[in-house]
Amino acid sequence: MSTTKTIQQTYRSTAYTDVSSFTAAQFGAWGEEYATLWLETQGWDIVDRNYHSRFGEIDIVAFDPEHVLCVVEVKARRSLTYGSAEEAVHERKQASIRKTLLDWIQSRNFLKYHHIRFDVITLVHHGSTVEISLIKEAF
Amino acid sequence: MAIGKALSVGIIGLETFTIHIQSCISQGLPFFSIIGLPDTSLSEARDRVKSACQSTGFSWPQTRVTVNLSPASMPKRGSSHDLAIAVSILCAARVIPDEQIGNTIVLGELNLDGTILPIHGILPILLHARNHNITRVVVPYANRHEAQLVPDIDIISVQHIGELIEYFGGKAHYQLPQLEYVTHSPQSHIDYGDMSQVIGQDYAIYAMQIAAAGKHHMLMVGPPGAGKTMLASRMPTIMPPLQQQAQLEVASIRSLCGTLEDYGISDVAPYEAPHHTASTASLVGGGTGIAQPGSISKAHHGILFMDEAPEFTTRTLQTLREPLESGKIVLSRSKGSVTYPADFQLIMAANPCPCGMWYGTGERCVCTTRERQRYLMKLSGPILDRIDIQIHIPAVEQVGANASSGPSSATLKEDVIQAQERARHRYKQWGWQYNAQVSGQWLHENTPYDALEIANESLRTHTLTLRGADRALRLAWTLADLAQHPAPTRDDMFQGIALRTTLS
Repeated sequence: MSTTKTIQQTYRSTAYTDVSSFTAAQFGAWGEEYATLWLETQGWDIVDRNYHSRFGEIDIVAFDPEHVLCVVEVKARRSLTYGSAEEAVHERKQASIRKTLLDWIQSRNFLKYHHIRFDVITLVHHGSTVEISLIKEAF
Repeated sequence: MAIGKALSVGIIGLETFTIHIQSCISQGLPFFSIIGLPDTSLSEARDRVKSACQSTGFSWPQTRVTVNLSPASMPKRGSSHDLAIAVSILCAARVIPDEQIGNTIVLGELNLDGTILPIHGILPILLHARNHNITRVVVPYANRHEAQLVPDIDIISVQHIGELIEYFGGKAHYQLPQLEYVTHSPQSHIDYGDMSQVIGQDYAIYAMQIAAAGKHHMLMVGPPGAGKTMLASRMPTIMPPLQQQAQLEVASIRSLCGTLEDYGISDVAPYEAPHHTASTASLVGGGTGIAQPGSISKAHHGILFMDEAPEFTTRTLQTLREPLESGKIVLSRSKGSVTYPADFQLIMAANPCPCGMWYGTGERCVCTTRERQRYLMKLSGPILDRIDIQIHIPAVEQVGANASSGPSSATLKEDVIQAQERARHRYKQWGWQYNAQVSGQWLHENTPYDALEIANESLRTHTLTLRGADRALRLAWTLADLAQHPAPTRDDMFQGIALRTTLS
């Protein structure tokens, strides 16, 4: 119970982080951190984060509240000038996530999970508020 | 999950079918797909539709958009469904109320700024709508004249997609495009000239009148400058006005080719004169995917004039054989086969030899005997067999006040109409309309004995083949119709044989 509370608190405080001076990489890392915390508040079980392979990267692997193994791609945006966050998860990105997943399954010995879902979390940081949305079964 | 619907019409050849468009805006990453066998230009509608919709201030859904065109198994092509796709998506997004667009066909190509561009084939689509009790059709502004040709349909002509959204009761921000000032009025009276302008070719004009009255194909052989082209181009002026059904068929083909604006629905028989370098595809129809109509279909219910006929490639000439027989052409391409009507009347003109000087004494001719023989050989055989009237056009030997000029087109046309009326009345129970369509058996049974005997005499002396004799008999009946005889007399028969055998 007490851990849950800490997560809630950390999650809330993360939303107030001043991201304006962040570099793109720092902002991306912040987005992933924020998304992970948000998922935990929603009752998800985080299995792994930032897994790299020669094909690409997976942001988050987690069990959702119904205990389905999910691969979550996080996209964060500070402005929508260059297109929405959803649009940034294009075909090539999707393919690289799929390939990386195969690597991940082998290295982590998760072969028994034959039902895996691909989700996308989009974050838009409006300065004072953060807009978060989860697209289930995105691809 | 939101669903939006709209109606459009697809065309394969001249056959039309209603396309039910359904759009679904569902959960997922941004994605826009069009399914239901679209071709490349229809797949590209995605970018046009998206941009056009956004131009009205509509925020494109950041989710999955799927558009289905049913019946899903029929191939669909072209950009004419852009507007319907846009409407169905706007309807799914609740920008346009659902109930507004029931029983309405939406047509038009979109540009990126939301402008609606004109499309081809409006007329057959509207006729389809009328036959299927669809009372309201949205058409591009530039197509409005063509659309008004079909009565009993509520036509909404629009220039911009925003205009259409507002019409259907939605809200849109847009700016109407600057219209280019075009004074493009349908020219219903194209000047074909008058037969009386032709000098010194009384016999040829008479032969043309026979051709027009009986729908006989015709070949003219004569020196350059004798008036062959002039005669042929005036042929439409002595042909009877087209009946309503024929007018619509002609206009539908023109609509498909995008030339209806120039003609409107007209009762003047079409006149097509392809150049002698014309490819087979341009003559009979062709193109990738689904074939487009060629000259023979554009000449449906009218004249196909082939000037310098021997100069056409043999292959091109031979392709005319089937349509000459069946009055239609079936063209098969990768995306399916189409049937276009091609009930045309063939008029050919040829020089007597490659250099054209083999007339009179023939002393100016520079061709070898062999060249001369080969020249008209190109036409011989199956094609020539189907041409009833084969005449020489003599060189004109006098101009000025004393030169004889033929009768006016109006008087000739009057006789043609009467002759055709007689024939139609006679063949009522057999369903034929012209003498050229009559079966050999009917001719043998109904031609008077006197006339038949003359034909038999020609058969005995081998002046005519059996098929040639039938052709001569048909000509004799047309001559009888023009002379208001109840049946061919001996004179009619002699003339019929003469028209058929001048060249062979």
